[in-house]
Amino acid sequence: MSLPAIKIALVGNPNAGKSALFNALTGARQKTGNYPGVTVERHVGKLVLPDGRPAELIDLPGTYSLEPASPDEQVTHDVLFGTQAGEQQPDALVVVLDAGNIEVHLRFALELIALRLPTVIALNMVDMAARDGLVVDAAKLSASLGVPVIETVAVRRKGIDRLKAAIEETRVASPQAVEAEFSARTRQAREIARRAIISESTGHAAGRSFDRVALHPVIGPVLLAALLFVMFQAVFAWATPFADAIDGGFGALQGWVTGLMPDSILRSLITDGVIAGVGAVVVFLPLIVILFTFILILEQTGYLARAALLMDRLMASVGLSGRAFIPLLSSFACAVPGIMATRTIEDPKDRLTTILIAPLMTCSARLPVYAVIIAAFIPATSVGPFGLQGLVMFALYLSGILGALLAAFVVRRSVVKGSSMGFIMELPRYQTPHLRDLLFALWQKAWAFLKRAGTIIALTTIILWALLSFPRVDPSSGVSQIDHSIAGRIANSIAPVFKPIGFNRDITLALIPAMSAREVAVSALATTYAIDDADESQRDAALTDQLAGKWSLPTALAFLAWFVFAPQCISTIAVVRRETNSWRWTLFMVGYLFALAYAAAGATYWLATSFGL
Amino acid sequence: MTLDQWPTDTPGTIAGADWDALGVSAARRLRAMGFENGAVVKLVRKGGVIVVRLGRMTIALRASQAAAFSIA
Repeated sequence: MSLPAIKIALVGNPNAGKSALFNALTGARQKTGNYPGVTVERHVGKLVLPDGRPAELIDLPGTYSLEPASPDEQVTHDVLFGTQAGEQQPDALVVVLDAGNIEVHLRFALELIALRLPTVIALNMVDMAARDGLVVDAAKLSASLGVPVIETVAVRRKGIDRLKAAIEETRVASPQAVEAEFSARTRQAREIARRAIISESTGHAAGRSFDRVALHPVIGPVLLAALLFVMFQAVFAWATPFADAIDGGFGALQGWVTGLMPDSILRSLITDGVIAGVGAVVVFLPLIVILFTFILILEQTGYLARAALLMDRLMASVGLSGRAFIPLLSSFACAVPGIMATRTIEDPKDRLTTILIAPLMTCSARLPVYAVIIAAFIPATSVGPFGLQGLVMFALYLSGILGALLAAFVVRRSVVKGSSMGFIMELPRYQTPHLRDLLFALWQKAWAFLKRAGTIIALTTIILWALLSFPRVDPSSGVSQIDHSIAGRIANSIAPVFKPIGFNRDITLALIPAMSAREVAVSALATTYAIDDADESQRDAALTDQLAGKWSLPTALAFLAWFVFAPQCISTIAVVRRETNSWRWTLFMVGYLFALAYAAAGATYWLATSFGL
Repeated sequence: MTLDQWPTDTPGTIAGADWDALGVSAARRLRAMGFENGAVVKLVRKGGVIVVRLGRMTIALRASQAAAFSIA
């Protein structure tokens, strides 16, 4: 029989290096889920203490005090007091302190010590503190607090074994009395810090002088814009060869299976349904990995907080805060992680508004739709030093951003009225990103994406394939398989709704499966034309020619305009439902985006037609 | 003088704070970060969002919020 696992909670201020310490203590033995009923992520990892006892480490959201100011902080409070549903009160606490900022962090540590749970303190980032000229005596600190204090450098895995050993011994600690009143506790923290600090000098302030540039009212925004420009250029340029390779791999797999099996419904299901459908989505993995590499590096260096600061002015003009910038930036990869990242926005109104506009950021799934239509209809001519195709792509991204700002402006003055908390953000010290933690975070993002591709996207492509393939048409009858199929009949019946904005039946047909994932619109069009035409080879290459032959230019432009605002994929709708905890807001978002898309597509179609395009 | 108008790179001491004007959650957050009477602050950036060094922390907040603190 195995020993019962000890439950340990990891708790501390934001920017204390908590995640790195969590990774260092648990390695890859982590599980991410959600607390029941709330939208806060629950990270749990396993570790084995030196005496062989198993332990379960729960990573609580970072907070400045036990008085919660956001849903994240509420969870930390509730778990520590044992009032969180489905969660036992922890047996022991590991409190993380930033050695370079102990005055402020000690105040919260005292609050935690006052809970009288067995506690050990990880005095983290001692190397960074020393770099800043601050040396803290861990033994003195331990004597003042009455709990063990272990020096750690989590990113370098230093002090981890000693910390584990200390966790075992926490039960014997006798914590000191803690002042109950806020100001008295602050004074107590300051006094303890003063006694524990061995030496203090200003240190070298490389980060501070860089801030003179990074936060400069003129140079700062220019630097940020240049950085984002390079980032997006690099993301798309670097992702292409990898995407092509993955595309080729799935093509080869399709060919191999085709050669292996006799022509049958089953072969069609595997090659046209599963392989083509999942392949069409997995192609975006390089793009997502590269974009998140940039975002994670910006985050780990500490620059992302500065970027949020610089964006606050623009965001404030539409009633949001600079904090919205980080979730919106992630939404360029995918709205799902973007919307989940809104959890760091404390103000509920800011957070709701950010969720409602996040899907307007052009996610990577829309990119193939844009790419195919642009390749088919926009000539590869130059306008000055720029290519026309690139300019159209840029205009589509810009339309999404402007649409989002406009939507936020309107929403914040109508349905989500009221003053907000403003903008308050700690700017972490600059530091070099750590490869191990970076790769680990990337792996988690990539795995989540692949899981989505393997489940929801695979399932919807199979359903679409079935709806397009049944009932079977008699090849000699001359009736098109599409018109005869269930999907074709559905599309034909709702086509009148889309006719006024210039959409033909094939588009209507593609819009339905595109609800599962927007890039499926491309494979749906490809499948539609492939099932219509006998020749299935060179599907992608043929698709641009097919489109150019079958669609008018106003229809193509209307289709692009539609996808700038298009009603969201099922995953986005599901995550909005979960994060807002409300069907009303979810339906509101779907409704307003659908209306915007319809209006934009219609206006584009009729304008283009009246100009004789 | 209020914090948003305080000259940059000059240490100043918080002499008073209008916590009510800040609202409960902003006040709570700023207090937890160490904003209180007697704390020494140094402004490193002015503008719509100001940046303050308080102890060893660097904190950004809107000028409209910084106006709730009087500095001496």
